[in-house]
Amino acid sequence: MAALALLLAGAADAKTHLVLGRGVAWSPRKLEVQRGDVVEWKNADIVPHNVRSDAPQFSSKTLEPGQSFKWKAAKKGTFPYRCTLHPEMTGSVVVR
Amino acid sequence: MRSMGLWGKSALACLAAVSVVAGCKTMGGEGNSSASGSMVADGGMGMADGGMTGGMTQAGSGAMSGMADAGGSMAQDMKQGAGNAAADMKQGASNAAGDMKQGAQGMADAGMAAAGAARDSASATATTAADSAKGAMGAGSDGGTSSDSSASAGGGVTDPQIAAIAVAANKVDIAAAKLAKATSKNAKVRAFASDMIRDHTSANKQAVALVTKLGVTPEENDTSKALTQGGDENVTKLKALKGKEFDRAYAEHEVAYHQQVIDALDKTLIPDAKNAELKALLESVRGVVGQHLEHAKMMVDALSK
Repeated sequence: MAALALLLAGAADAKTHLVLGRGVAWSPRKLEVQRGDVVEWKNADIVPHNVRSDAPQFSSKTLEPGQSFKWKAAKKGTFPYRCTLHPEMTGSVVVR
Repeated sequence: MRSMGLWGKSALACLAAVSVVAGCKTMGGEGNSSASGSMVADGGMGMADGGMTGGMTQAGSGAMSGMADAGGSMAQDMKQGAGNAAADMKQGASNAAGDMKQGAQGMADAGMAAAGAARDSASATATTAADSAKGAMGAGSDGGTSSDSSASAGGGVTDPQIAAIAVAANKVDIAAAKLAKATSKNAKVRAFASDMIRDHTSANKQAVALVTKLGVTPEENDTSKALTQGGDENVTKLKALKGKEFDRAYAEHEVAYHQQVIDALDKTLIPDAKNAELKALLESVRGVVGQHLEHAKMMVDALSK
């Protein structure tokens, strides 16, 4: 029972962090989150983008302007990623 | 000196026009707005100097980027021309100091003379860029004349005009990219062209969606027309090339073109945009074009190996 309560409390604390893609750059470029949090990338740009982690953790389809992609940070670690359509558009998520 | 290629010349002509229009417009605008009080002559001439220098510098950068040799000498000559013209104008200013009306007229004349001086300098010193510089300066002179009225109405390129320029700029690069995809057998060139089609098509879609939302009707102007015409002419010229010649000309043009778009965005379009959403869109365009420029440079390097 106590474990369930703890689990529910943890779920309630989970946050969603927004990363905006604009001007062929992610902002914030580096994001720190807690395990269980959700990261949402929104394409606020005028061109299509995608979100692909260097290690196989997360991978979005092509996001047209206005579209979003969400990923739940279930594992601790540092996850660099990029838009493969615009490879200079890099970022990283650090999961604590 | 690295050859600019056929496309490059046209892009310079077109985009230098954006800069020149801005320079001439500034002169006309300040001439109008400063027509009051005893400060007119001094302030007016200061502005005329500044306006002319701005016009020269921007015209120079319009024709120079990517053309180190011709551009450099042209800048030097333009600078000299600017200095001489400034000295002449200063003389005119002291003569006109007691007569506000006359001073204002002098400034208007000085503005036109500066545009003319820039055109003459470009034509005389930059042989390889003569055609493009002439075209740009011609558009600039026209812009200077017509921009007197827009300047007196508050100055700056209007949002509807910016919208038309943005749409024209995207279409020009899409047309070149389509030709590159159809003509080139080089994988890097074809990949770059695909990226241009994808990004500029999307950018245009966003631009059209925004102006539709804002109720802004794109207004054709000297710059948007020059962009379209220059794009058409250069696609025609590029069609005459094949193989490595084509690839090199296309790649070099893409470098020059994107650099000039950046200059136009930084110096004219973004500063002059009135609507916040349009300004934000142009800032996004700036990021995209900057990335395209870096890719275009890499493509040129790869093709030169």
